[in-house]
Amino acid sequence: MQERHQTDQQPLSTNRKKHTVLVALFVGLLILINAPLMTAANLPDRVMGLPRLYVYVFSVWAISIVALALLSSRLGGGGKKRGANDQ
Amino acid sequence: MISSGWLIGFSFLYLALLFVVAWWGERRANRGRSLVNNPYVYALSLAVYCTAWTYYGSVGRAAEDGIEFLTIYLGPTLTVPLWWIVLRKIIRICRTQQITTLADFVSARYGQSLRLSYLTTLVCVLGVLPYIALQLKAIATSFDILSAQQVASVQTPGVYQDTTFYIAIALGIFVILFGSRTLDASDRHEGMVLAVAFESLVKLLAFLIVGIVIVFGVFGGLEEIYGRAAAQPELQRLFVIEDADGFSRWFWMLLISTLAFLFLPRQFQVAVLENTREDHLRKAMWLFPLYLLLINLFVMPIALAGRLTFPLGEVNADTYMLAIPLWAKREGLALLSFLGGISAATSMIIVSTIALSLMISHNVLAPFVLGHVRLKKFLGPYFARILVTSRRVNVVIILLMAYAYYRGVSTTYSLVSIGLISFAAVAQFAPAILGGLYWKEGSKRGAVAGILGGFLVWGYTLVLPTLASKGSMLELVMQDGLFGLQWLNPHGLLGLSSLPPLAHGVFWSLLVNVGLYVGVSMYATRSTQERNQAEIFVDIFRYAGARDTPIGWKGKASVDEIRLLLANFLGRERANQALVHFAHRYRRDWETDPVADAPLVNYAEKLLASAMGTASARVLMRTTLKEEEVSIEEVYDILREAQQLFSVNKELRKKQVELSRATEALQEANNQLKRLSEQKDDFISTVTHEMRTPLTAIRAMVEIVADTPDLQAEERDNFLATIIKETDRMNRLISQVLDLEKLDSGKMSFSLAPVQLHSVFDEVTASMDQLLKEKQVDFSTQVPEQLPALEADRDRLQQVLINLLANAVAAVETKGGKIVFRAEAVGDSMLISVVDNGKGIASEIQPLIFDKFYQAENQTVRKPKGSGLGLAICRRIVDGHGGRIWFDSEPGKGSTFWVQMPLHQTEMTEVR
Repeated sequence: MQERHQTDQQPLSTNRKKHTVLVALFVGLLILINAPLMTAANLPDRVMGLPRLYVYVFSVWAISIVALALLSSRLGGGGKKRGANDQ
Repeated sequence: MISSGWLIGFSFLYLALLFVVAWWGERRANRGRSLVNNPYVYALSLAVYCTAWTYYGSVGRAAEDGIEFLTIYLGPTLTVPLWWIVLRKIIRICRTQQITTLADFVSARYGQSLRLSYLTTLVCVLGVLPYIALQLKAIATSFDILSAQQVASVQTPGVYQDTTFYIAIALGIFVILFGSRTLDASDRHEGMVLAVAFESLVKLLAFLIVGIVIVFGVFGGLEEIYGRAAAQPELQRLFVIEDADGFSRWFWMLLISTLAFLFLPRQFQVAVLENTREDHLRKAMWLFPLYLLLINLFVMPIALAGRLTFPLGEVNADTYMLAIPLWAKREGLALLSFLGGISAATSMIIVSTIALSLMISHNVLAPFVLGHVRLKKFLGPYFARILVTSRRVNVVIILLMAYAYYRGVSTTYSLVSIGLISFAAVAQFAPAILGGLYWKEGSKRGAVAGILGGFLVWGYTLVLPTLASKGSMLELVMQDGLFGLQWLNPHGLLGLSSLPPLAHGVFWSLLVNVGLYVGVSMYATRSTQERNQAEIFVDIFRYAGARDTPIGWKGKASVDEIRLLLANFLGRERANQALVHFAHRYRRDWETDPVADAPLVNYAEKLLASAMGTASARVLMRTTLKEEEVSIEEVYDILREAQQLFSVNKELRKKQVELSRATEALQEANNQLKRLSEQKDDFISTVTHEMRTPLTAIRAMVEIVADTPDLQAEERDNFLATIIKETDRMNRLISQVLDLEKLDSGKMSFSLAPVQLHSVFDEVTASMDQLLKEKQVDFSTQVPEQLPALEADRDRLQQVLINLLANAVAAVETKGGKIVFRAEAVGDSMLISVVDNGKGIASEIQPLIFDKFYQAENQTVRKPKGSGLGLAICRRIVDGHGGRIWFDSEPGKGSTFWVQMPLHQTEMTEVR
């Protein structure tokens, strides 16, 4: 069982689910940092002394990093050394 | 301000440090203790994405266009979630196919196409060369600004006095030393990667420190900078994206930086080719966006600080990173900033140069030489040496060309425009690569047409306008369109002049590219080799070991031919080593069967590919060995076989899991059996021990009686009474053991009959009367006059009650003991209880007392009297009647034992 390949041979459903979440995150980000959604934050005023649009973009960015950190730890599993699949 | 001698010394000191870091990385790698094989170095090496363009240019762009500069970093962030899907697939393919460059990848996907190999290399070189020049320019500019008295008065020195020239040479030496030392290009360049990661750290720290000092030291914090900027309408303008045009540019820049991140040769080099483990992606997936976020935190504040400090036009905004520290008289800070800029520029130059030089030798030079019979014959024997030398020469040529470009052309353009045009060039690979990863029908012709078409449109709409100087022919074209046709205007193809120029160029080039790729692919016929590769690329995760899958080769070759071929190009020693390795691993015996089979041919080709690129290796194999074209049916047969093998493997694995589960269950059962057997042994030893005690007493007394004829009658009677008592005790024990055995094995049957509890109680009391009196127990019964009859085995019920009563008597003190016998009918069951005020049952043994082996297992807490079988028997009898037995007990205050029996037995309950 040690030789088992990790990611590509997991049950398809869990793999698919993870992939779907990743694609969803991509699409979500794409929507969040483009017009028209972004126009809502496109005002010249300031929030806590910082331009509103900057606060918005950097917040989305930071949240996406947190989401990625949480997600990525559930991907794959132990992983394998390069060349382990050469067998 | 800072003497140029100082600066030169400082720069070269830094470069020397890079050499040390790289050397250290190589040494560790050679000793097998890699420093590069971890996700943090991997993530940092990806940050080679941030060049001098980021370092100086972002500030410049932010000072002019506001937030737009962020798209360059948001684009890659956007794609990060897809890394696990797309980038991992690319990495896996490159590993199994021994791919060494980006051009290799494109050409391998489309059947090791030579044309694509050349074309990709051409686009890369043309697209990236200006970008390298840009880095040199950044170094030169930063140098001039720090050393010159006035920022504006920059003179271009002669080549031999130009520090940039020497820096370029130093970088060339670095790349030659750490980037092209061995023939096997699939070896990772660990020293180089470590140095690049180190540089990423330097530029990030430098930027953050400079940012913090400028914002909080020179100025009074973010509030102040943004507050003052908000007061000036022309700066407040930078807080927002201005109009629909702004959003359209925003979108297109996001798009090209997204694509560029994946397909820039330097990114491909660090992200794919230098990747040591796919798993590193997982950490890099959030570390890299974090890096980008951090390095962008202070861009806007610095840009605004610059605008607030210098009147517009006086100082080039691209130089604020240096100009502000100088203006604030903080020379140390300026020097740090300069260092960061150098590190950003040099890391980009290093990686790009390696990538390009590999590409030129593997994807142009090698296939060109090998494809020509005469050239091959002439140069063949020296090929390995030529290959390594050519990589080194390429490095020098690329750097010289970049330097020439910087001296000749680039002085007039700002940093950012060149960078973006470069991005747009490599974005042209996106359709062919992404399509090639997921669309099997994508064909070589389609890819060539797409890339070529996109590249031409790119040149026409994006490059041409930058070359148009005043009064030239080109300027006319810019004004009136090609041949005076306005719909051919480079900034307004088909009249689409409303888009900003960059968006316009990207849109048209990608549209033409995708259109040609898809359109031509749909009608092109594809060779077997091509279909074969398409299959492997798209379904890479489905083929267990695609590297060894013997597809696409059919012909005759001997092992000696292969040996000769490998020896020619890799050297005799290495060829022999590789063949021995192969023979050992696949158990081939060439003494008896010297015919090269498909796996060996495949192995040899991959081996060659690692040294000279896949396209060249293919050419070599095709021209050297007698090959026959394999029909597509055969390929599919082989593929199907591979897939079947794969599913069989899967099936086997599933079976294995099931088997191991069954083994576990068996093991568990076995353990339980062992435990039971041990308990049985203990039990037997307890029982024999219990038997021996009375036996010893009996024997002693009988001996006394036998040996002492003159014993007094009274004494003798006493002895005989004891003997009878002890015999009874033994008898009881034996019958208990027998009972238990019967109950346990299911041999005992109950003879059921209606039983009146009154009479049973009376009998029990009568048989225990002697004992009760001895202990002077206050015994009473509380049984209602009218009780329904109970269907049970009378004798067994009696046995239960006697047992409980005997236990109660044993528990109470002599005198003052109190025992109550109670019974009542509850619903259709009878509830009997025996209450005593004895010493109770210690809580730690409470869960155990019904256990047959309780005494056997707990020799230290054994009950004072009895065999320890009574309660076990009780429980089995009650259970056998479908009833329940339990107790409440408080240590020191007494216990109550409850027996609940159904009034009617539905059927003969099986006794377990």
